[in-house]
Amino acid sequence: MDRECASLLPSVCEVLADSGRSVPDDTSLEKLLDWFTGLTEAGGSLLEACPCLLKFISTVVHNTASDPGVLSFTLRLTGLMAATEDGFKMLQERSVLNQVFNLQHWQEAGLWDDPCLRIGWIQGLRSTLQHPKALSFFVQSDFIDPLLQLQTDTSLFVASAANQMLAHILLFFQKVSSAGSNGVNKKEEDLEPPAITMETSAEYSAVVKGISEYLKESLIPKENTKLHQSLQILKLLALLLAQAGPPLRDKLLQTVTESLEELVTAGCSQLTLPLMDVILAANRYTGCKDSRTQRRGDCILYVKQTNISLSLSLSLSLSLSLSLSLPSQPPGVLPCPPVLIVTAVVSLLRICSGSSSSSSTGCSEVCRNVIGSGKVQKCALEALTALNSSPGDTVCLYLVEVVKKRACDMRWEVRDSTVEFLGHLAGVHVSVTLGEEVCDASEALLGGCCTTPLLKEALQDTESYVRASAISALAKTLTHSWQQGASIFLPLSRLLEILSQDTEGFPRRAVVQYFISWFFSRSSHSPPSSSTSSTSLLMQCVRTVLSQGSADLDWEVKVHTLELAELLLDQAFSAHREGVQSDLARVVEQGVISALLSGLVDCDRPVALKACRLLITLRETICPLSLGALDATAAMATVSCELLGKGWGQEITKILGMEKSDRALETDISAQRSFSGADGGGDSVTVSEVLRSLSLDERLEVLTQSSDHIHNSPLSLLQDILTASAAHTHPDTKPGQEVIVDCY
Amino acid sequence: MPEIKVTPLGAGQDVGRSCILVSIGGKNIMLDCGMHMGYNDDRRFPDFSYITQNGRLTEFLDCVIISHFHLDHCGALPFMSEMVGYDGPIYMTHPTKAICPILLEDFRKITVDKKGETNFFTSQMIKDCMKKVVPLNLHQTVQVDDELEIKAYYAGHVLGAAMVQIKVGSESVVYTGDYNMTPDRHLGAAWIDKCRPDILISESTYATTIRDSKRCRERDFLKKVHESIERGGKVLIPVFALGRAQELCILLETFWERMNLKAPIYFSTGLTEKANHYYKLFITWTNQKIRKTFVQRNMFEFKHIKAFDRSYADNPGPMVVFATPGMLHAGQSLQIFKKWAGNEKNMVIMPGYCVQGTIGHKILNGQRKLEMEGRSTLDVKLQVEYMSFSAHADAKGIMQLIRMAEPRNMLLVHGEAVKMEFLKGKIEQEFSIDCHMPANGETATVTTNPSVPVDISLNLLKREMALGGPLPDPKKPRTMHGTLIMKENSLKLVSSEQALKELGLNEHQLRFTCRVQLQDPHSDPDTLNRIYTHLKSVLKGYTIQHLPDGTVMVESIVIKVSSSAEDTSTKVLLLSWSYQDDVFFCFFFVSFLSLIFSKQWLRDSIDS
Repeated sequence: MDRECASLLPSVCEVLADSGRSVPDDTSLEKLLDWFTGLTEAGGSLLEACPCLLKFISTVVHNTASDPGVLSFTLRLTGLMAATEDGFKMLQERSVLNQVFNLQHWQEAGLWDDPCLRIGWIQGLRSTLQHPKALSFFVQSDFIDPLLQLQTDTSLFVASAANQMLAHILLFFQKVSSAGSNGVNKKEEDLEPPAITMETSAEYSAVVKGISEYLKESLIPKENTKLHQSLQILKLLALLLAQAGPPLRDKLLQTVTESLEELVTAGCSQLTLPLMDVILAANRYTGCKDSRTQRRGDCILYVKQTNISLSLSLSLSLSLSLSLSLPSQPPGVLPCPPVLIVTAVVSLLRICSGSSSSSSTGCSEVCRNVIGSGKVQKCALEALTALNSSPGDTVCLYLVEVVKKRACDMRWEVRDSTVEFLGHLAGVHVSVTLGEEVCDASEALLGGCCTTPLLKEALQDTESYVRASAISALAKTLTHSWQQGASIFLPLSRLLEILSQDTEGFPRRAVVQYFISWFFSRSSHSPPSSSTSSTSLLMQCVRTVLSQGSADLDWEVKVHTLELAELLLDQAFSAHREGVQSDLARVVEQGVISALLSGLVDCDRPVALKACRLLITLRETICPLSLGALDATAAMATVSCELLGKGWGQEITKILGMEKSDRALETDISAQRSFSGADGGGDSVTVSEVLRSLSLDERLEVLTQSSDHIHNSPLSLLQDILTASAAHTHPDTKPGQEVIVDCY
Repeated sequence: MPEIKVTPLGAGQDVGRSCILVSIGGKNIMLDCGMHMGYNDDRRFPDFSYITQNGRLTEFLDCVIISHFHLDHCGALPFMSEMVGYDGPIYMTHPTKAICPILLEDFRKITVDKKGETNFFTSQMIKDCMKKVVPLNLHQTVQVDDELEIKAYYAGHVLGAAMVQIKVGSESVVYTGDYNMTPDRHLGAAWIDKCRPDILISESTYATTIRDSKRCRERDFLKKVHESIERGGKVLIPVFALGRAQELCILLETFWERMNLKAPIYFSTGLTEKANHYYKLFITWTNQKIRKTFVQRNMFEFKHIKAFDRSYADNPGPMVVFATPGMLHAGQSLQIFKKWAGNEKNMVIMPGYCVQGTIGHKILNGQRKLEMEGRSTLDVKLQVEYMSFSAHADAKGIMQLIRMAEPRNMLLVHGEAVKMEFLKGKIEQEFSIDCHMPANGETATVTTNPSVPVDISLNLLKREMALGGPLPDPKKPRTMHGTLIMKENSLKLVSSEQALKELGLNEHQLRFTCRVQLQDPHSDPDTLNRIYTHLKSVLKGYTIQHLPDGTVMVESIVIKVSSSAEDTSTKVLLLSWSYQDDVFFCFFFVSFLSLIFSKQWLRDSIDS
């Protein structure tokens, strides 16, 4: 803990312990606890580092007027401090633990009714239970019964915490009864195994016995309406069985199998899902094939049958995800001919778009869920894309028809999924045609003059999401077209129009990404013949994209623009190492430098960070700091760039001006001339000088940190608690000035 | 008795992230799915594992309803639907559906902007989530499934905010979300039918506050801005993209016009056009004044408010800038704040609440020295003002809504426990209804007494009419005889014949019999004859027949006489009647007994 925090902590404790002062919001208490947990996990002792905590705990615990939130916090803090044997011993010596976890005390004070206190009690105890001494304390204090009672608490949170705690005790100390057994939860295994003594072993057995008996007795609901307890026990069993090692697991199963079977036979629908969870957890080890496992298997079957209608839609999505994973498997494992799957998926799509219906009750239930369901449609389309096999002419025809119909659906959701599908298809098609087979369906869509007109139309869509998807899909068809040597549909003017005029960010982001794709696909696939014309066309556009993209209002457009700038930089400096100066002149001319400088002073951190990194890379390339400043400047002196008189240009000029005055003595005359007249008109500065004068490394350091690490630091938190308390207790707060927690 | 259960996962005795589970008539509904901005990890979202483990949310929930676009009400939605996994329907109004993704994107930007943020949803996830949304119109009943229906009402608060009525059979719950009972500069007041829900779940942010008049606050705001401008200062108003910002813009625009002020007003990051677009698109959701004047002049096309360029912040002279985000945690508002903080002539007005860990939170609590990146310290010399413009119903407004809806029970959420307690007392006293305020994780259970609607067949009614008596009157309940049949999820009262016909069943007759012994020396036919004569004289108005087969019939009751073989003066009367006439038989039997024990009967027997 740093000195500043240590000095503030006593005052913070004072604020928290004073029931008259206003309590900070619950997030502050949680974050405070996070900090203490972090300190403990790092191996520090809270008691040694902050002795004031001990006084704080006893003050709070003895003051029944304390805020329940602070009390809960105190209980959890105590548990945290007692998590190590040393801490536990010290707290025990001062009888803090007996006070803090004394149930009777809380009940008599009327505070036990507050669920947050009960949670604090459970979680505090749970943190403590990391060593045998704590187990002794737990057993000797007779906490097992109250804990079992809390398992069916009226508060969902308390009941769940109690379940977690019960599972923790059984799992954490299970090594006590069988040292060296396998199958213990990995997370629990990371912790140091508790030292085993005869005493601990006996205590653990007592706990296991107590809990198992409770499970057995309470699993079957006494009345059909009181299912809450059974539900909770099933949850606990699922938790336990999923993580327990063999001895504990077998013991638990021995105890509850009969009751479980009884529950399954009773067929209570509300318990079906938790029962399935338990059975699945118990069935985790398929290796042991004894009769009990078999019985469990039967149970599963039974549960599945009773549950069939419930999971109808589930199995639909399951079968879809199955078909999705098909291409990665060898063709032999297909459950049925691919044509059947494709037909099924296509008819599902037809149901989705409302063009097919069935009258049976089960089906109408499914239809209701499926019509217009974006997820199912998306899944279905992805399944088709992934299936990738020849579905036969009829299905192809259907598919084209379905796609066309969906592309002009009333709902943007449907249109968007369709456009996304075409994009996916183009993407997959590329990877397939690189192999050998060509899918008929995708060929019918992509090659059959269906896709391009649809996408062209979608560029004009009223919904920005659809426009964006259309642009992304077009970007994917680029590669396909290059491969085919087909004439490419390049809606360049429309794209540039979207970039400059679209009011929504998504299409503009997509436009910049389109050019990035073009850049990529051109360099990897373009046949030499068409190369020149397409390159010049691309370069013409890139200039506009860079200037407009870097002036965009959306931060992601700006980040993508910088990605494009990065590609241009890479291209410029990787190919011809000898003519650095002419390369630099070209990137300046393309507007790359302007884009980078404008990004550097952007208010959105990701933009500024990206720009800063790129500028540093550029500086390393053209004027490495290792080189004498004069040498570099001399070499690059002729390459300069324009700074606009307003916006980012003005800001850069200002930074350069400040840097200049800071280093007034070492200023060279040429730079002075460049920086002086920044009033309105554009100014010209040499690139190398700008790169050297912007203190890029310091900027990078600040940008990498972000303000977040300061405002979420422990020190900031402690300060916030103190100032909030002071502000709320200030006598001259005007009425109506109180900051009310409302909404955002 | 049927029950409605309400369990808040968030907004139970706190304000932070609204997420309320309602279980009604076997349906499970999630009301709002909000995010807590005060956390940087998964704790910002509600813990859905409490609902069901293994991500089986789709099976458990019948639908999710989002009340409005504020992140504390919708911010966890993409996390739930795309990351935890929920494929069921999500309902929200048209404007909320349109604006929600903008706010979600805005927040995503802040998380990317911050460091070390992981496990946050992507743009694609936001889109995929929005594809699951079914838009709602006001006052239109939407059938979620055969039994569950929902209906949205205007809530004020922000553009598109809605209260929603959830109905299963005759049971219903109304959830208010955040609402405002007084119209403001751009929105109207909340309104609802007298729908008498079983539970009204209401927000209670201003549970104990009777807010000063809006006019007062507006005047105060304008005065402060004006003073600052007059002394040459710059005013920063950090806002969230859409919502209060538009109201404040209208306020300043009108003031500038009236006072003929020249200082520039800027709005950052292009949100003006976007906001404009949505307010134009959803003009019907604004207030009457805006709708009326819209034809001549769109209130959202501002003359004085211009788009902001980042270099303007350095311009000399006074100006007012609206910049995002609203808590000064990142981006443009923070950048401008850093530039202006050092000058005491400048001012920052915080129009809403700020969570811990933001600069907004710090300066509102009076911190004057702020640590910044690179170990620098920022001296806050500018004037810091807090003026809440968030539009919630105050105590008076909440009572007004209760009067409007007339709920049978009240349930308070979205407020501080102490304040809720106070309001709860007031509500219980004034309306004599139970008021619940469950903490997060606790369940409030309300027992309902549902009336089940039953159709009655015309034939049955006609038959009842034929029997005489008054005409059917809803205010005067009366007994009807018929058979209740359940068919295609509806109940119908029909005659037993019709029931048999409709259900395709055969009729079976059930008869009761009994024997009565009596002393009578007459021959069997004579005894029977005597009985016949006497009954005829006593039971007037009933069909009594002496049949040739030696039996007497009174309605369905058959009487037969036989004598014992040993003693002919001991007669055995066999009585048999159908179960329909059970009641009549009791009556008959009493008269019968009184008859055979009457003096006349005994005398006649002795005489013979």
